[in-house]
Amino acid sequence: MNVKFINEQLYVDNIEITGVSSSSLFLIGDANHLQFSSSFDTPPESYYIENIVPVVPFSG
Amino acid sequence: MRDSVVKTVNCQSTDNSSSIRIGDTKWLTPQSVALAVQREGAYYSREFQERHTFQYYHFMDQPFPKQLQPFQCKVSRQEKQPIKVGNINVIGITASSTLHVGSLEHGDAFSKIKHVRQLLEADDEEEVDDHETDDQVID
Repeated sequence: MNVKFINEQLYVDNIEITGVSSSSLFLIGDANHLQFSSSFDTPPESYYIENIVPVVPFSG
Repeated sequence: MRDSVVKTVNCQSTDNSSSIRIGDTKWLTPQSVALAVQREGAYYSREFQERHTFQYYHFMDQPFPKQLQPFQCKVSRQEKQPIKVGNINVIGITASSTLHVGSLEHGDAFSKIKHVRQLLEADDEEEVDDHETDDQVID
């Protein structure tokens, strides 16, 4: 299998990013091979309830 | 591979093994594993610390789905112009992330995040043992 790339002009003036997070990649350039995986477990699914009495130092 | 031309990069913060890279890279393999525990009352005891470790959560052991094998094919490139960017303005990079200016040969990254919320009491819900709940989360 043959693939032919012809890369013409690419010009970007301004890029605004709030955040890049969790093994992400912000790339300016070329890449041959990229393999990115992510898994997360976040509430409400991971809520659990416990009966805990918070201990505070006695004062007074 | 093309050249990358960037005029300015403005980044406010890089946290937790994140990086700004300028130049070509052959291998980039960032990894991030996080266990984020939030507890109502904000009281953390030694027993609590020992109970909430990575091996306690089976979520951390679960493998990622297998991805496609690298496919062999003939690639020819004709590069006429470099990649040009004016200004890059980033507020934050965190958790093994990368801002990369330049070419990249291989990139292989993974990230796992387990969030845990502990509340003091439920309003109308039945109180459950946390082991049971954890199994439910895993399944």
